[in-house]
Amino acid sequence: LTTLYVEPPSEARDAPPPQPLTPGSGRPSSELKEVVIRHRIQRWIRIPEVQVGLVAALLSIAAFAYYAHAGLLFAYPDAVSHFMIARRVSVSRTPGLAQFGTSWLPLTHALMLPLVWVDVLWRDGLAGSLPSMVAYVVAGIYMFRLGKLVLKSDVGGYLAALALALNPSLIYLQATAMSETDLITCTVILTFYLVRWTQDESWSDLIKCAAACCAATLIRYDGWALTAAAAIVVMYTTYRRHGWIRARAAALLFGLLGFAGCVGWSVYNQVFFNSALGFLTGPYSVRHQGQHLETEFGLATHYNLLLSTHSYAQAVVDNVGLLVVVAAGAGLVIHLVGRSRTRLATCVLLAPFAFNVLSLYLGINVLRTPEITGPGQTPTYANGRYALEMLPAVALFLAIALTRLLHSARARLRTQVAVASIATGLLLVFAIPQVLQNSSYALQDPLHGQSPIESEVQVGTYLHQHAAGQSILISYSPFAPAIFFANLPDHAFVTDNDTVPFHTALTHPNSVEWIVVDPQSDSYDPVWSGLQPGWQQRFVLVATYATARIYQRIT
Amino acid sequence: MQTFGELPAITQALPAVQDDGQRWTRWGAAEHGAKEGMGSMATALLFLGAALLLAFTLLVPQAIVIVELALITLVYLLAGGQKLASLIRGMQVVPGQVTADPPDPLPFYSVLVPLHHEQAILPVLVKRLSALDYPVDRLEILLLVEEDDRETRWALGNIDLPDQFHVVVAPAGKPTTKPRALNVGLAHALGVYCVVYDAEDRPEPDQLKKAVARFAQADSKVVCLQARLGIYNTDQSWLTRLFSLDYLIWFHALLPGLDLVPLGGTSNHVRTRALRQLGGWDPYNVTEDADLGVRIARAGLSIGLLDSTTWEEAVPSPLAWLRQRSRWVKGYLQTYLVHMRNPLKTLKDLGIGQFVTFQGAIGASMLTLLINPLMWALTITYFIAKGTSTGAGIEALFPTPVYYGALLCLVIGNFLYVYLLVYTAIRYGMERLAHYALLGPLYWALMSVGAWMGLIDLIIHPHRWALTRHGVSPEAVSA
Repeated sequence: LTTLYVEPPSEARDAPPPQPLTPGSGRPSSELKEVVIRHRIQRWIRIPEVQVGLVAALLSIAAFAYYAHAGLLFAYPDAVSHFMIARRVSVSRTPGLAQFGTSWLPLTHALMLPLVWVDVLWRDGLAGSLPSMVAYVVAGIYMFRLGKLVLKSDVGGYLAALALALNPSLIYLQATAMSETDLITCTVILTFYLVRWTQDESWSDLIKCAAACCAATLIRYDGWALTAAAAIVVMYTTYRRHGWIRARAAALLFGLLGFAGCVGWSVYNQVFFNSALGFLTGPYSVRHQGQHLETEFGLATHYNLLLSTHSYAQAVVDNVGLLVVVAAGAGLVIHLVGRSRTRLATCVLLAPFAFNVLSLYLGINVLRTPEITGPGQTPTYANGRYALEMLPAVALFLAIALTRLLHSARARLRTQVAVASIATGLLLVFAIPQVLQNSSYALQDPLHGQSPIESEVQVGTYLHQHAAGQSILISYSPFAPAIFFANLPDHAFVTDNDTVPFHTALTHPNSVEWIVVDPQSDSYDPVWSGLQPGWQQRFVLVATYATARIYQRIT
Repeated sequence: MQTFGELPAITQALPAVQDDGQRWTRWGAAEHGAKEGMGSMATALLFLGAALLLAFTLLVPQAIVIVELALITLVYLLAGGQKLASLIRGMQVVPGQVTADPPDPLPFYSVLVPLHHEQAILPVLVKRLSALDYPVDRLEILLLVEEDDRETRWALGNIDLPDQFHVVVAPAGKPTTKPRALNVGLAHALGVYCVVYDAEDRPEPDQLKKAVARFAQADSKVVCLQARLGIYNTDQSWLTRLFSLDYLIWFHALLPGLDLVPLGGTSNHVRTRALRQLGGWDPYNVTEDADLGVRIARAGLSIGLLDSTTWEEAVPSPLAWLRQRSRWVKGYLQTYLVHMRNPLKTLKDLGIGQFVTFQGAIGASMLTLLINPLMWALTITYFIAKGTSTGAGIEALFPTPVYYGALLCLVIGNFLYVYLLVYTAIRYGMERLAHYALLGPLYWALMSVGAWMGLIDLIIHPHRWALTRHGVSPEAVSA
């Protein structure tokens, strides 16, 4: 006791003793309450995760307000399609789970479900953006935790979190209904728990990692690769440390939950669409789109490993900046040659690179950058945002490079903070102009790419002006944004997601007043291909926007 | 076949039960228990209701079946949710940890061991129970043998029993059940506390001391402590492995999460006086332990868990397992029917929380076991006949909310149970069995077969005790 006892400062000794609280002395004064609350807030605000979360939340809200004001929340047609799916599940001619469809994985849409019911939130896009914004904040917090865990320093954690949160492309995407932010969040969370599991081997960490993997597998197919990589780490690590029996048990505990999303998705496809691999082979699958693109434009990366790797690497550089990529590469090398027990687990962050390069090589995906353009081709940014999935890896390895540099220079804490501040400043210098000039890489595809949303807006506006109160045969596949922008009641549309009425309308086009088709759609248009020959005799073409055509029934 | 002539004199037989003791042998808890319960008006009405429901289902299929399926789905959702919540809650705690030394001097302790055709295992039993770390002058081990069980009595006459062992012969009579024998033993028990062990049990040697210490530190309302049960012949067959997992999840995860403990089989340590006041065991109930658990709760008393394990034998063959399981289900059904004769009284006695647990852990768990095969058959038929008129007919039975509820139970519910089984195996040191958890659905299918056997047996032979043969594993007959 004597060694622990510290003499109070003299002013404290001289101060009058505090008045004891006696029963019946009344409730605490409002002043006291205020002091207690202030004290709690001060204590709370000192928690690094809270600081990171608050900064990320402020960034997120500011970005949403900015992009909403600039009218860019719906720049990606896919963003509109995402929350249209959520809307269909809850409000449509035939609501239900089948409306999730087969092409996109369902979790992003499922997260929007509680919000799309509210008409205001749906119309202004917040219903689609809010889950993504929350994911962004969570990603920032977990990136801090991951950096701190790997580097054993708060400075490392802050650097990693800022490198992630200040990326201009992510700042844009998190304000929209796109699914990339959700996947990045899951990537960071699963890596954090995997790394922590390799350190303390807590089963609960392994389950949390598996849960994050499960979520990732239900957001984007890249999540499947992440989960496979994590499974390999789990098996290998346990086998090396404890042998086969424990490795089998750990693999089971991880795999059952981690891959539940993959199995569940296949079962869903089988139950609702009679094909367990419908997401891979169906008419709306990425593979089908890849075949279409190959036919139309040629896929240069198909069976070209070097070009596939080059394309994806170039997209990573375009998304995060060359200097940052070089520094992160150095961090990766430093990390791999070190003795950290976390080396293998952190390498899971590299899985999206392998997955994307492989999918480009196999021709089931397309990604183009303006730097790599074939002879006679116009520069495009198609799917360049896919490279953003490498952002958690870049953020962590950048933090490793900077922290190790400071550590080897034996910098004091003050110097470390100063260097971290300079690095943050540089990131801000890189980020702010891109945000304010709308020049972030993720925005280039919708603004200057091959799938602009203008024609969708025009189709929607036309329908709003001319087709109110009448039924419209249209497909969600190419026209989800147009349906949204038409701002008509959900039941006005007869779509491919309403199986029975849709097929009735295809065979009896007279049951609808309007037909909208896109004969040259990048994706499959089931209206165009499903209508009975001769239908055009009863309809007249009244408007054409880009490749979209609007027909009205002859009365 | 061995024949028995004049039985050898048993050296440590206790005198015949006195008149006042007859109460235990004749009545026990039966005056409030299964015999009356099974014959009561309420039970008759329950069976009548079930028969009417069946008749209506056959006569007016669709409307009635839709309502039934909706109710069944609701039961699945509520009972499944309650079970999952209990499992997760139970995993948060290590129950019944003993933090104090037992009092000195130690109180007198009675160990009750009912025997029925257990002659083969007897020498090992004596050796195992002799290993109990408890002063022999403070301990009595009462071997309870039926008067007409000549084989066991013969074996008892030919064995040298240590001083703490005594033989009690239960007079011939009906019903010939374990609880009736226990009631006879209870009449003789001199201990402040008593515990029940089965013939093949291998309790941890310090279990009695732990129980005494735990009773000393527990509230006086805690009248019973349930020790964990484990399996010592785990690796004998696939069934014993699954049985081990079943016990693991039941005793490590589920029981600690329940606020009403249906006592399990053996190793129930009880304050003898309280047990007598409760009326002993119900001789007509074939899971007298589960019934006693409910009666303790209804009396406003409580059951604690003891951080000690009794190892016992799992039946290795499916047929014997089914017989045992059918008895358990039969007993649970008896318990449910007895305590639901007057639901309002039971609700008043237990309070809302425990009443809900009673409904979920005893009522709904048996109901779902019985219904599972029907639902599985419906699901399989649907997938086979999808796209045909039969498939459409099944679809029509599931309105959207019922369909999604049933889907949730089928997919998420079953997945979570399998996953928790894997986790339990790993967490509680049986990681070598983790992959057997994947056979969980097969085990549940067997449980349903046992449940139907139990229900049929309940109707045909309400009070017959289907004896489980012990000593069939090598571990059971080695000390």
